[in-house]
This record gives sequence, structure tokens and C-alpha cells, in this order.
Amino acid sequence: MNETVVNEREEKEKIAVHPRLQEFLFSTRRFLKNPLTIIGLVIIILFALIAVFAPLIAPPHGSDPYRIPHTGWKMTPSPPSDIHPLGTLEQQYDIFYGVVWGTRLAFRIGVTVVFANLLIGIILGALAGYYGGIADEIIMRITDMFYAIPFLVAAMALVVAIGRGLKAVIIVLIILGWPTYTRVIRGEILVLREKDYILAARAGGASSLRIIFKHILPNSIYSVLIIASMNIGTVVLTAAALSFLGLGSETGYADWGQMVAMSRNWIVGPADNRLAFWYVVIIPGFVIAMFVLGWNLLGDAARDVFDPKMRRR
Amino acid sequence: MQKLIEARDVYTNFFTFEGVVKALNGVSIIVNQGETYGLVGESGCGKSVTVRSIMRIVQSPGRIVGGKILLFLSREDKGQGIDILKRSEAYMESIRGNDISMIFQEASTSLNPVLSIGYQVAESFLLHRLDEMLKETIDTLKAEIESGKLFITGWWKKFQGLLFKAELKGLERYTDMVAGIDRRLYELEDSTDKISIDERNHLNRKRDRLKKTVFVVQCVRHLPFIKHYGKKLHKTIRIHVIDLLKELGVPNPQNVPDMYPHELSGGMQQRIVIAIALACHPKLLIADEPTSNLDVTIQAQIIDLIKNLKSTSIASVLFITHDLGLVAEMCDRVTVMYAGDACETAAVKDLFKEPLHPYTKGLLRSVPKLKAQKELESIPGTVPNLIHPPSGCRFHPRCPHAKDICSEDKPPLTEHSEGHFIACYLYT
Amino acid sequence: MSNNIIEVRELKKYYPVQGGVFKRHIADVKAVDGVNLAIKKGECLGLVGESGCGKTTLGKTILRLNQATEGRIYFNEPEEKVEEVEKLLSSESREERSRGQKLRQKIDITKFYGRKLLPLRQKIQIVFQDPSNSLNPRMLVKGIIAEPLIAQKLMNAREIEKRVIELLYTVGMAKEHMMRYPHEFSGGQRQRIAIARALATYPEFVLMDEPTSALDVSVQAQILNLLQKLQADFKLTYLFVTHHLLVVKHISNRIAVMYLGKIMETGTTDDIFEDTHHPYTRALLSAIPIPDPETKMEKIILTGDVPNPVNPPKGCRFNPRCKYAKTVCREAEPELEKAAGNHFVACHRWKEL
Repeated sequence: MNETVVNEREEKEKIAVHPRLQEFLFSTRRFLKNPLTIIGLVIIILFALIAVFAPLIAPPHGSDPYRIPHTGWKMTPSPPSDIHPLGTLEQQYDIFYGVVWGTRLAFRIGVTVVFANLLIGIILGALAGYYGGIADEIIMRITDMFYAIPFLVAAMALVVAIGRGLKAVIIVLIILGWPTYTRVIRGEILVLREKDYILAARAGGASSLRIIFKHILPNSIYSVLIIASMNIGTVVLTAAALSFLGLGSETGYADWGQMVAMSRNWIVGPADNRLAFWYVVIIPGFVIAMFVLGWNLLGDAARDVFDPKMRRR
Repeated sequence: MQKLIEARDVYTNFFTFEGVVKALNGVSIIVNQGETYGLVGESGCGKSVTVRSIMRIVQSPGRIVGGKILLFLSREDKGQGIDILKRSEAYMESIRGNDISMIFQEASTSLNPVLSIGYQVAESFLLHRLDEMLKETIDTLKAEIESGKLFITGWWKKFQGLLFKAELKGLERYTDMVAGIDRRLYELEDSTDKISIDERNHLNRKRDRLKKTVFVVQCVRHLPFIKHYGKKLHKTIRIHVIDLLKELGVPNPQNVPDMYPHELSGGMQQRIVIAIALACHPKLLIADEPTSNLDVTIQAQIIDLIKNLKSTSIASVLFITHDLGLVAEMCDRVTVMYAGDACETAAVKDLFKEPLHPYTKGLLRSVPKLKAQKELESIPGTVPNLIHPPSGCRFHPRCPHAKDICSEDKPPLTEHSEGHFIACYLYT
Repeated sequence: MSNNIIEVRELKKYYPVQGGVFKRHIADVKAVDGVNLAIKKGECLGLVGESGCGKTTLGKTILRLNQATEGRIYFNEPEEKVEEVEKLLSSESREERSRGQKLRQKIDITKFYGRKLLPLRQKIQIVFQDPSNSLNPRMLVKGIIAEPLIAQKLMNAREIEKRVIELLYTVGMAKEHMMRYPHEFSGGQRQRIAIARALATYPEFVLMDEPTSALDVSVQAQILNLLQKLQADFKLTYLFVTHHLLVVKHISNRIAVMYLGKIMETGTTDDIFEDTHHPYTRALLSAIPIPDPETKMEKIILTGDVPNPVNPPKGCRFNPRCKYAKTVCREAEPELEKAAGNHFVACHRWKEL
């Protein structure tokens, strides 16, 4: 009634932007206000660019671009030079090439694993949380079982069972990763299920599927996405660890973990120059650390922005 | 009437991400000794911020940015009041709980869920009435020693008595020192030359340091073996706690001290909160919507209790509510607030009989009454956003009598008739 | 057609309390424990009671948001049919009882599931207490109001848009508000949006679950006026659940007072306020703070708290707090007795008091 009259003035001040876009802009502005976000964003964008333009930065030679070219079989790594801008590993594998194509591989592993985890987690979590009862009981007990086994031990055992190789690592990480997402989604849904707007939707005749997809998931997905973005880093780290243990890709593959594994013998140099082979460990290790750090910073920033408690009003 | 506390032109802002929320826009209230003062208004009008400013417990990102809060405790103020905004945090700590107590809307969140009721009430005694409690314990010990015969227990009791006496002595010395500092601080209050400012800062720091020393000394009491001597003191306090609970109408007060907050209903929890607030005989009890979450019948119990206490143990009550019915029942004088402004202050009878401010009028008309009425009148519009509050009188966009001047200047609070203050250009 | 839009018979809603390792069923929270209630077409029935008395549970059970434990709810059924089923159900012979059960499946809405519920969802709607909780924060106002229309596939996109605009104007808002998020509105405006959503499917019966308790006084008056206007305009029936007695007095024709899952007294608003019979109602009425310092009512202060609904007291549920309680009150549970006309009381001693 009269309320509209009072608000008219405010109305005119608003620019005609679609409200969803406005909301997005508002979030982005908050997102970008945090300096740590910028650092995280820059790191990830840099990695993404490297991954996308890998064939231009380091042109592949053989049929499999992920195989690092090596010039000779000399065991001692050689320092950075004109031909090898970042030096070589043992057996003269080029570090620069390995880092560039390793980025691509890291994205492939991280995104595949986390995406698959999200899919499984959301479906099972929604089932458990919304329907409750026996479905809930079964799903949650299974996740409990997963939590009861030490992660790395289980991963190693499974990889050996499936057969060594990168594919096995990805499959194992998918199998072991989903319980976290399931738990979080279920918890969120349990909270949301009692909200009045869910009841209102039911009173309006909405079906269960509609309630889950239209009302529950849009309100609960953000916390999972935040975890997912942080997990991309962790997944890459775990894959690297498995490769380091000799369970991942074979020797000479452009995988950061593999590269660190190959530099194992060269951490300390000869007695007269302890730091002679610094580049073999530091460079791949640094790249892994930066990749994980970037995703973690992004995830942290996203939490600050999307956490409903931090939002206005 | 003698003033107890006065807030003069207090401005409090909240510096949030969206902008500066100007929550208080120069609010002035005066609470006199012995009266029940009501602060009424809709949510977001700043009534809670007002009392939090008075207690200096405005949460971050809020800050008091202007005004004076004067306390008249007749201790060392020579009738002009102490501006507590200029005092140190340690000084405020000695005021809070001692002279002014506060109870909140949510009793369940004001109580610590992992500590027993008895412990929480006793803590209030330990903090604010330790000297009395110590004296009493020493007396009972003396009496026991005189009547007792056993050699060993007598000896142990004597030892306990010695420790208590030492503690009492320390406490008295501390109180004296603090009183001395406060006296000196008050003398320095108005002087502006550099030497006295330096001295003032020095004294404030000293006071803070003293507080810390006392804290360290008190920690000794919790050391193993030594803490056993304190049992006697806790026994004394427990008697007082049970008495207090009995006084507040808590059923079976003997057992309640051993219970935990979740075992009690909302009304009982609120009683316990009141008990904690009353343990130290405050001069002013601030009740921030103490009954909003309670049912009507329980609300009636609590209101009845506060009224009774008002006639027996507390001098003044500052009662915050959004319920005009409660104001009519409880209060002697009342201030109506709107969007951070104090609109009208009057005796309750005057306010309900002859409301002057257009907002008060609208508010009173929009309340459903016992007498049948056809349609409720309402105030058009909504409460403004305080990041960009309306200029001048903050009520003018919703006011049916708004004039040009209303949007330009903030109307001053003027006395319309005796004791009836109003901030509106219709009456100037 | 009868003049009762809703008939509630011996409705019970128990919430199981589970405990132990295997989640054994230990006890029940008896939220609603045998309620009989009839809501007449076009009236506004106020359901009053303290928190935890089961008033909201009763409302949500009528709306089929809760599954009733026991009892029947009839919606818009002819009186004769209801009576027939009730008679059959309570009859002595087993055959008749089973015949009654069969008939009941068809008309008792507590037995409706899935698709069969959809027509009901159109006719019965709800407005919740706290609008900041009842509007999906990630949906636009348009989507919120259109939700029941989309969910029940009642209209196409163009008709829906037209209907949403129409609804916004009915509740006193404007077309421009359609493309906004709920958090951009004040409490009163949000409640208007919630009301618009409830009206979207042209309902006949709307459950008002404390629609004004989360609002400020001046806004409360606006919303109450709006609700009265809408009731007159669209010939709605309200069940107005609240703990605020003055609001109920203002808006209702008839009042039912609930205590611990039972109805204590029902009657017209005047009956309840002028000619109070039940001691609980009296205490409740005297506890209202009256916004007028001149009228001083005598206060009846009840002692104690509302008992735990897991173990309601034996006999009359109110007896531990009632100062008139006698032996009979502690032993037998009083039934709703007719006091006059439409005025019913569940008290053994109402005649003496």
C-alpha cells in the first residue's frame, strides 16, 4: 500500500541490471577485496595458462606429449643451461618440459577426481539427508567405514590391486574421496530440511525432486564447492605422493610427484658442494606447493564471500 | 529526584562492510534513583545499542563516537557525575555487575552450559561481594573453633582462618588503592594541562595493572592442596545462593545449584540470570527484553518478580521492551525511540493519555487493544536503513505532519510540559 | 456441502523419542493428543496457547506437512458423510468398522498421498511465522510467488507472470519488486511476499502460523489489516495460530485455547473474553500486558511451568498449576462440555467457578 510510495525513490536510483547479475557482481567485488584472493587467483590463472598453452611453451616430440624427452642416459642431473632452462633430472629428463606438461596433468587429475567426487557426494548426500531412514543409515555407515581406514594405506593397497599407473591413481582417489562431500551435503540438508521455505514448497505441492534441486541444493552447494576447490590441491598432492612412492606414473612421465621421486637421490650434493643439485628437488616441489597454495587461498576467500553468516543482513 | 545515570547526546556507529550504520543519533536519557525507566521502540531503533553504550559493551564493529555518559554514584562525583566514557576498562569492570547489572533476552545463552547453576551464581558473589563472604567465613570458623574440641581439626581450622584473613587483608588493601586512584582520577577529570593528562594516563594504566595482579593472586586459590582451604568459603556462599534462589521463587532451591542450565525451563533460566544479576545488590538493573522469548504466563511471573524485587532490593530498573503493554504495566517513565532517535520522554501515564510525537501516536494506535475496534491504524512505510538515514528528523518520511524544516534539521529534545520531553518541530 | 471446511476428529500427533545404541523407541512426545476441532467456512478461528502446547503441530498436521499418528481430518466433506464414517468407525461390530475404514480412505486427508494430495495443496495454504526463514534466499520474488503454480503445473509462463504481478498488487507491493531477492526487503514486505505466495493458487483455507509475531508493532498492524481485507475479498477461511491474545481478539471470530496438546476451551471471541470458564484461559487472559496504564486488571499468576509433553499429568492436564484442582481433576480427564451455544469447556468444575 503506502509502503510502495516510500520505496519509490530508492527504486529509481537502482540501475536496470538483472538482479542475478547484480548479486554476482556484489559477490565478486567482495571476493576481490581480499588481497589473498588476488594472490590465489593469479597463481591459479598462471597455472591454467601454462596448462592451456603447454604445446606452445614446450612443444612435444614423441607421440605421447606427457613423456618427458631426455637427451642421453647420464645419471647426474645437469644444471640450467640454454637447452634446459631449468636443468635436467637424472637420465637427462628436462625439468622445464616436465613442469609445463605436469601442470596439464595436475589439472586433469584434480578436476576429474573432484568432479566425480562431487557428483557421487551430492547424489548420495541428498539421498541420505532428504529421505533419511534406512537410506541414510546405510550410506552413512559406509562413509564411516571409509573414514576408519587410513587414507594413504587404503590408496596404496587399491592402486596395487588395480594395477599401477595414473588411471589407477585417479580411480582410487575417486573411490576414496566422496565420503567427505556426502557428509557435508547431508549435514547441510539436515539443517535446511526443517527450514520454513522447504515446508512452504511442500505445502505448495512441489515434488521431492523439485525441492532437492530447486530449494535445497542451491542453498547448500556453496559449502561443498568451497571444500572442492580446496580439495583440488589436496588431490594433486596425494597423487604426487602416490607417484613418489612409485605407484603412479612410470619413470619419465611429466608428473610432478614422479619428478620429485626421480630427484630423491640428488637432494644432497657431493661433499664439496652440498647444494649442487638444488634445482632437481626445489623446482618440482615448489610448483606442487604453489598449486596447492593457490587453490587453498581461493577456497578460503570463497568461504568468506559465500558464508551466509558473513553476508549482509 | 536524584539522577542515577545520564546519557547525553550519545552517538554510536557500526562500521560494517556495507557502510557506517548510524545506530544512535544523539540519544539522551536520564534514569533517576528509584524509578523504573522504560525504553520502548521497534526492532532496530537502537534501544539495545543505547544500553550497551551505557554499559560500554558495544560489540565490534560498533563504536561510541560522541556524547557523554554520566554516572552519579555519590561516591566521589560531587554531584556532577563521572563520565565513564573517559575511564579505563578496569574501572568499567568494577562498575559492571557491582553497580549496574544487566539481564538479556536469551537466558539460555547468558548461562554457561557446562557450569552448574550454583557455580555461576557463586561466581557473582566471589567477584563482587568477596569481602563480606570472607568476613562471614572467618566468623563461622571462629565459632566452630570455640565450640570444637578435636585437636587436629581445630588446628586446620585455625590455619584456614589465617589464610582467609590474609586474603581479606589483601582485598581491603586493593580496594583502598583503587579507591585512591579513582579519587585522584576524578580530581584530574576536567584538567587539560599536559602534566595532569600524563598523570591520568599513568593512573589508568596502574589501575589496569593492579587488576592483573589481583587476577594472578586469585589463581593461587585454584592450586592443588591449597584450594581445599577455600571449601569453607564456598559453603558460606552456597548458603547465600540458596537464600537468593528461594527469594526469587525457584522451586526446591536446595537442589537447583547442582543442576545445569539445560535442565531448567526458559522461565527458570531467566530467574537464575536475575539471581546472578542481583547477587551483588546493583543500584541499577538493566533488563534487555527479559521476557520476549517467554510465554505470557511465564512472562507474568517474571514481571511480577522484577516488580517485587524493585520494591525490596534494587533501586532502579532500566527496562527495554518492544511491548507497549509491558511498559504500561511496569514503568514510571519511558522514552520512545525511533531509528536511533529518542523521540519522546514522559511519565507513562502522560504518554499513554496524551502522546505528542507523531510516531508515538501512530505506535499507540497500531497496537491491538482489549476494546473492540474495527481496523487498526498503522504507520505507513518501513523503518529506514540506518546506513543512509533520512536527513533531519529520521521520522519525517513516514510522518503525516512533516514540514520542510523536518527534513533539514534534527529537532532538539525540548520540554513541552513538566517532565514531558519531545523532539518534534510541531511543538516548538 | 456442509458449512465446516475442516473437521478434525481425535487427532493425535506423537513424536517418538529414541534412545540407546539401537535407537529404541523409548517414549512419545505427545504434541497433539486427541483434538476435536471444526472450522467453519469463512470464519477466522484463533488457536491460542503457549509455546509447546502443540498449536503449530496441529496446524502443520492439518496441512499434511506432518503425518498424523492417529485421527481423521476431513476437508470440505458434506456433514452427513462425515457423520456416517464416524458412526461406522465407532460402531461395535467389526464389519461396520472395516466398512468405515474403507469409506474413510476416500475422504480422510490424512490418508492421501502423492498425486492425491495435489488438489489439496491448491486449496490449503500456509503463511509462516518468520518471513526471513520462509522465503528461499536464493530465489527471486517472482520465483517464490510462482513456486506453487509451477510445482503444480497450473499455468503457463505468461499466465504465471500476470498472476504474480496481480498478487503483488493485492498484497500492496509493486511490479518492480518481482525481480529482487528477499533480503532486499524489510520484515513486513517479506511477510507480504509470503502471503502472496499463499494466495497464488486461489486457496480456500489458509493456515496463519503466527504471521505477525516476528514483526514490529506498526508493521503488525499493516499486516493484520491486509489479512482482514484479503479474507473479505477472497472469502478465505483462516486458522490463526498465535500466542498473542490481543491479536487474536482483534482478528478472530472464534477462539480455541490449547494446552499441552488438548483443547481447553472453544467459543466465540466474546465468549472467551467476556464469559471465561476455564481457569487456564482466565490466567492466560489476565497475563496479557494491557497497553493502558489506567486499566489495572487483577493478575492471576500461575505457578510452575508447562509440564513435559512426554508425560502429561494424569487427569486434567492443567491440574498441577490450577488452584481450583480437586481430586477429580487429578484422576479423570475432562471432556469438552457444552457450556452455551458454541461455547465448549474441558473442565470438571467450570460450573462452580
